[in-house]
Amino acid sequence: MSDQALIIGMMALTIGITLAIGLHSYFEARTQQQYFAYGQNLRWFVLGLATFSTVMSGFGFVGGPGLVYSLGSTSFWMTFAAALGIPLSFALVGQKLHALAGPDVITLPDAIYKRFGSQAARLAMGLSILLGIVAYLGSQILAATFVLEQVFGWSFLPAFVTALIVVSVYPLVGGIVAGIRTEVFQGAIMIAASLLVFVYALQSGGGLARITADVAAANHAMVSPWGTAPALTALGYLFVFGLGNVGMPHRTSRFLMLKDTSQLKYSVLIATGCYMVGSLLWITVGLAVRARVATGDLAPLVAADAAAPTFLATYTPGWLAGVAFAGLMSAILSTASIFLNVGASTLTRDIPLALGRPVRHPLFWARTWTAVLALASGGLALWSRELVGLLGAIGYGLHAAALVPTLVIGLHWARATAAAVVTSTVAALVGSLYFFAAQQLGFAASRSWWVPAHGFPSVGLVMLVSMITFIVVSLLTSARAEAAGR
Amino acid sequence: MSHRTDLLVLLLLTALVLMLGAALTGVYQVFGYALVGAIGVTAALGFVRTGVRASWVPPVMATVVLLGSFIGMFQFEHLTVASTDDTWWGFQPGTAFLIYGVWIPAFFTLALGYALVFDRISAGEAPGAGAGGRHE
Repeated sequence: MSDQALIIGMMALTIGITLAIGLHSYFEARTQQQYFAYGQNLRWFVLGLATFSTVMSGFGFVGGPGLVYSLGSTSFWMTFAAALGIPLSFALVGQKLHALAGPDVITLPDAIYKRFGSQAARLAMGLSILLGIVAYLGSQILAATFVLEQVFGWSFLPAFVTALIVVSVYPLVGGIVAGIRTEVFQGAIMIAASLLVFVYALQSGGGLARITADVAAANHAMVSPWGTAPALTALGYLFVFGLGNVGMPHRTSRFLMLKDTSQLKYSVLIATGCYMVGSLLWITVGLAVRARVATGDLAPLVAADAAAPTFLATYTPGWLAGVAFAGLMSAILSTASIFLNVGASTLTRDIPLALGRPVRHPLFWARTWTAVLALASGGLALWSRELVGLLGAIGYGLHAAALVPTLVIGLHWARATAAAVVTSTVAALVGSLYFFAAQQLGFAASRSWWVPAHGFPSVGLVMLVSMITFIVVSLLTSARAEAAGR
Repeated sequence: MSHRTDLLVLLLLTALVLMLGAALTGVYQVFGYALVGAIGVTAALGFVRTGVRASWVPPVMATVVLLGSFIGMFQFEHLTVASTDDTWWGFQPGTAFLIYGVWIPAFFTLALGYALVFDRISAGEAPGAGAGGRHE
């Protein structure tokens, strides 16, 4: 069997098994609690593996190695941050959210409402979650399209339509039950792919020390702790992807689905450990390719994102390329499906409840909104692929800046107020939109808008401002409430 | 609400303001040390329970290890690698502090630490006290 046939076979098998598991979940997604919250019966092993699958998106398989190829160690900080962020999220949010969970608390905005007793806070959370999801989903659909184009050799439109159907159909039918069960399967593929590719990456370059020395000979900055970017970029990534990780709604909402609190104890080890194994591919492939280019074995790449595909095509056997592409597709599907479910829950439940207009027939609306979200994100991607790419970049930042203050501080601090939730969320939204216009749309260059210097990520700046805003507003408004109470 | 939580939040506010100032002025060492402080304080917010002394262990260990690694990174960031003999366990010395001081220990200090103190901090969590304030 040829290498290409092996790759196509493995990809088709992965998609087929994902759809089979997902569609079978229809029979266990008969209520809102099941469709959005796994029947609040999530166990430790599934929680751990599914958390890893969600956090590791397709970026870890293509974009991450590409960034290592172009920036060196700078990109390490993005993936290493998750090793801090995952256990922090368990400690900071796990038990607190589970204590709030119940039949009437199945989404993050539900929990925020129960904590703060404010529909405005629930609405602010719901809107920021929804906006971030719409911004991010289109980029995931385009990523799946890219993989199908590469593997099957299809043109854009059939690959796009297939990607849209695969990404949306099983979360639509089986809700979060489908999303989480397929994540366990997808997570296993990702771990296998990462471990095997890591071994081949080390072999291709003659070991880590040889790879480091070869890269350093061509460009020493690449192997320094900060890489070729300014130190503040690398340190900013640790902040944004470490603490920011706690604010990701598609994984933090899992804590509302637990069977009981004890499920947290060992799942943190599985989630963190698996993610660290997943990071091995991210950090070694880009360095290995850069070392091969430095020694003249490979021609310089036209685009940095070609690092992983070039490595797989040149230095690994066909069957491993098949496993890696299946892992990449799994990473994309696992993240996209959960985003769709969280977005549908916001539209079906959180925003209507915050506005005092709960919907009848919630499951019908949940499936309808899942389809609408997928079609809207797909339509946006068709309309402007460039815009979707830019929007995808701010999706993460908006979630981090809007949700981190409320989840990290608000769940622990009794002085935290609903006014602080709303104010910090508005600060996050305004800041994200400002930097989107200034940097992504180029207004800073053309109209002299201000952007941070010294390489610090604008997302980090928005996170800092929203967290400071949250604490200061809480101090001001809780003092006023206490004075009024006296 | 506890006095300890108030104090931790004020410490976090101090660290965040320092980070903001350092990010805007480009003083990356100050940002780095303030970030270690912010991570340590947030870890304490998540881990520490009143009357459970063991609950301090993971956040304190994580902060101390992170601090040592940042000192190492700042100390060795400019060392050059001319051959494989100049690497520390496969990496440029400053980067070795990142790999073996920040990344891998995070699993042992925070993830394993959480699993090891889990039963004690769960016992210290009063039923229904899931959040700092209102419950219906």
